[in-house]
Amino acid sequence: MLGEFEYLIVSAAARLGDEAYGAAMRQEIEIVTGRRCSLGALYTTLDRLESKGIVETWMGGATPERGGRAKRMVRVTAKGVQEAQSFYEAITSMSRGVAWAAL
Amino acid sequence: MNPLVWRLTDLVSLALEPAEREAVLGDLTEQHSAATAFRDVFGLVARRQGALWTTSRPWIVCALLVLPSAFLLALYATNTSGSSSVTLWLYFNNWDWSLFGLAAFRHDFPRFILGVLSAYLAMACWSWICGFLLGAASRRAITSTAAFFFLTLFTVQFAIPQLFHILPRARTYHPNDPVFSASFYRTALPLLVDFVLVYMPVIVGMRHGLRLQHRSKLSRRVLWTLAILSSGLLAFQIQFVYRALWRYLFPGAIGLNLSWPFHFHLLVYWPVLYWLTAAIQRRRRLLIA
Repeated sequence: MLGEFEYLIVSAAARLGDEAYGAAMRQEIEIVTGRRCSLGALYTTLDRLESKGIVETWMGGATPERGGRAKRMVRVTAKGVQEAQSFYEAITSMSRGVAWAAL
Repeated sequence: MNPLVWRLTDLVSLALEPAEREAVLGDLTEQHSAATAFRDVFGLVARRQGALWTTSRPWIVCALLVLPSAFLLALYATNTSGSSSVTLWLYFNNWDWSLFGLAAFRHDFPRFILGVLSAYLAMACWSWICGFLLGAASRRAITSTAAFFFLTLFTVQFAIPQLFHILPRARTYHPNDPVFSASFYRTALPLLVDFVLVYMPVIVGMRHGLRLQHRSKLSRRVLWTLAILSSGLLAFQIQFVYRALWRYLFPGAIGLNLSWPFHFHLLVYWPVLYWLTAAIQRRRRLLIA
């Protein structure tokens, strides 16, 4: 099963679709979670996810705002969708019946 | 973004794989995150290097290469800069043109200066060889093994003078105290010698060592053999340590007489031939281009 941070990365890639790459995913995670996402954690986790077959990455085009440097594009694979779905189901199942605010 | 921070970030990012470096620097440029750029890249490099240490290769390189070579090189460099200081002080701080009138001076002076220069060249060669071996053996873990190498080198070079003061019987330099009372010979010359003849050649050697895997099998074998043999000779070159230890352990005994059986130590100069060949090849390629 995916870890929490792995799930955040897969979700960010899924939300961004064709625009999923390092900087955009990092921004997405930071805005949504309100937590800092280090580049080191992002790229090393991406490597791990790629080696597990959960995402696939490739070098995309360069843009002027990046100083003419290429992007590392990310796409969630079919296996990644399955894994993210099972993580989500596990979390929602475990959360059912638990009222955190009342504890 | 602060140009200095960016330059530093760019420098640290050299430790990353080229494709990853491009993506990471692009991300940082796009986000204009000056405050965290250096921390981000440094963190990523640390993580990448840390992951390499989960395999046995960097540990073996450290145990068999980094620690022994940094230790021997530090001892040899300290001794060479110390003994050359004495020779240089002897001639240049007591310079008198009338000395050239003496046949003995005319005979000795070139020999001593040549001796200092050949010792400096040998030191540069040994440093380059250590760097070459380190680059060839470490490969992707070069950033962390190099950091460990330089840390060991600094520590040993800092510790040796302290050791000579702690152990009075091992303190061999006292007849030369007038030389080392001058700050130039005590501090400036050793630092200069270290920078030019140790650190720079080690870094250049590492770069050549990293490129070794692109050479032919035969060329790799020859260079590995030469590098291992000549770095092993370094252990015999620090005879002043064995003599000092001998005197410390056996104060009344006859002094150790260690001398080279043949001219094996000349093997250390092989990098000169390597540099010449590489320079000729580079020039030929430029001419063809």
